[in-house]
Amino acid sequence: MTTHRCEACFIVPSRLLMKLGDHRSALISERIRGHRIAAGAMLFAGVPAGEKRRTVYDVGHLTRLPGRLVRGEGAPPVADATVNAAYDSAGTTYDFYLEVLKRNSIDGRGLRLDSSVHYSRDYNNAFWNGRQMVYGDGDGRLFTGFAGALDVVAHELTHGVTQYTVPGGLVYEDQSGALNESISDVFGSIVKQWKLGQDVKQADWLIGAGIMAKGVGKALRSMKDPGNKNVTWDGDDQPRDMSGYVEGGDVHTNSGIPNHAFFLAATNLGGRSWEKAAWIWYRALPLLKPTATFEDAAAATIAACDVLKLGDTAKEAVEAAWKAVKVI
Amino acid sequence: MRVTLKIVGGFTGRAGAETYDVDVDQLPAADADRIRNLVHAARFAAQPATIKKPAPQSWDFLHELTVEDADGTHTVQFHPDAAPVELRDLGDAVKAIGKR
Repeated sequence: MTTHRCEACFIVPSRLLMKLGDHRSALISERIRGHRIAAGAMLFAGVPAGEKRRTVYDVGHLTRLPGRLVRGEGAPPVADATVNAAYDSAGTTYDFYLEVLKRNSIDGRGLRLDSSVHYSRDYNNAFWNGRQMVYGDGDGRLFTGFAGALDVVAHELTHGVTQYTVPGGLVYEDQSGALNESISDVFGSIVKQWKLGQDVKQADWLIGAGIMAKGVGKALRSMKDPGNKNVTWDGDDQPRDMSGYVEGGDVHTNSGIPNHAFFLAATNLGGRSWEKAAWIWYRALPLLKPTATFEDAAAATIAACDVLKLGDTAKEAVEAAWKAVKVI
Repeated sequence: MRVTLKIVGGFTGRAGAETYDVDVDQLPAADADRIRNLVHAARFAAQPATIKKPAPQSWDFLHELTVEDADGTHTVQFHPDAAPVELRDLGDAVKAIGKR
């Protein structure tokens, strides 16, 4: 008889502890279970699909991650709205990937979704650090916060999806880096549209709408109209096609081109972006290489149409999109 | 001498870059000497314009140091993992002093 060696098995699941009102024990259990090293995650084959495992930490305006555990999976909302927003949006993004794309969390095997909020002071950013999401609060002059925006949360989680799905990941510079950024914007927008039940005509195609401070702008980027400062903000330097490509440019600049390609493909296909366009872009990910170019992405998305057996109409819609942005 | 550090990456990219700006001539003498010594130790003017990791990931923020003095202006973009320790030390000092 083999003995199952479990690094972090508990008699009473933390969820039951929360129900019984023993929040302190539940949080301690989650903390021990939660740290990947302590939990010995490599011992597990994976977590069943549908079982979310979210934890939210408060960094207390310092920078040492992950911070103090403040909410675990199944725990009721807390007083801090930022914590609750990070928790809820991670859940919505998980639900999207599972229900629409049949993917069990970031790694396809039920990876924990760890979020740290209140990172540093006046921090105008959010990021995926290879293991977890991290959210600043903004300085109030440029940005007003990040965890409260669903597309931001889905954007960051999708960096993890890219990490686990593109063989070797997408190198974060030049065109592969711009693709890395674009894929996160694409699925950030799709998750928002899915949550709101919007079709491609109803969607605003804005990234970071609502996180800019008053008077600064309406959004950080636009997939529908990259570089149009009237719909985004004064610092929007994104090109919409290859005629504006910046050699050696920032990955957030040149991502405007593949972003616009996705917008065009999705609107060419019509309906709701998650029904076909999301599948095409998702199915293209394993076909990319770490130094993929925009042309490689075009080829991969066109090939994905065949893999998904979507027919010539879909293929032509995707081809037309990449031609319109002058990649092919 | 003026030294500026920008840390670029994440969701916002350059829009949300952490920026630390130090007017060395306005610093207390000890801090001013420290910065000038670090610029000298880093042989800053001789550093290439970019020092990057071979295959950076989305969490590898890019640091951008600019030194402006009587001899001109020079900027070095680098990933800390790939940069000489003297350059990292200069960036850390600018961040610590610029934060005050």
